[in-house]
Amino acid sequence: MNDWNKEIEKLLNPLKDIHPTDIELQKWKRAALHEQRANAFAARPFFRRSLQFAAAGFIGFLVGWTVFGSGLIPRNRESLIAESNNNNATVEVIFSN
Amino acid sequence: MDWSATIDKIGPPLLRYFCGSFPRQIADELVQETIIRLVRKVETGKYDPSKGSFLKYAYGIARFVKLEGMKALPAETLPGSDFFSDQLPMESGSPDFGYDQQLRARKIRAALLRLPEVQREILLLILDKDLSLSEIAEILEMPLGTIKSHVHRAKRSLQEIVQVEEAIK
Repeated sequence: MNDWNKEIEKLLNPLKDIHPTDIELQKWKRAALHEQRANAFAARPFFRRSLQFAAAGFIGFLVGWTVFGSGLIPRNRESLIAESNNNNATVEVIFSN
Repeated sequence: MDWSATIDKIGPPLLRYFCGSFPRQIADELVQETIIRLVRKVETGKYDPSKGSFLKYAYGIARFVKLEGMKALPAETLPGSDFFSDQLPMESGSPDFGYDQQLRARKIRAALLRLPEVQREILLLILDKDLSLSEIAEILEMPLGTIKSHVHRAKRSLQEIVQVEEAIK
């Protein structure tokens, strides 16, 4: 480091004698290995995107079912003024207010 | 990534960095927390080598962990407390780390604890000379000129504290 000052180096030198024990190093390595394994699946882009896609689909299904399947927005059949169910035609449903 | 080799390289400087602000036992835990977060970020592709060196990235996480530690830990374990002063002797892993070295380390650490937080932070970041002042400026989100003036002031304060303590003894 160009800006490094020899005087500071001399002052702080005692702190540089601090070293981790072998036990500490092994503990950190085990923790890293454990974390690496835990993230191995999520780390792969294909699986990560697949997971996101599946989660988005599931949430979309839940929202759709909640809104349209649970009767929260009921169809008001009483206000139905015209309905065509011709097999060869586009189904057209018209509601009044 | 070969995490075993990486930890051999970054573990010791991270321990020294945390030891400047916390008792050894807490520093050990904070190094582990830093490593876990580092592995998670790298393995999930959040580390972008184009934005700086790996070491700078590691120290950035370490600083965040340190700030979190200061908020989460009981006040009596933080720098400046009696508990912390009692923990000043350095329990080095090396059996060669003798009594005199422990005393010198304790003295310099006591002096560091009297410095303002930002000055101590800068000195601890430049302790291992792995980071440039520009990288330290990025980690601390400060202009390079401010970092340089803090280094100058920290050096002067540290010298004064050490000289006063030696004069008292």
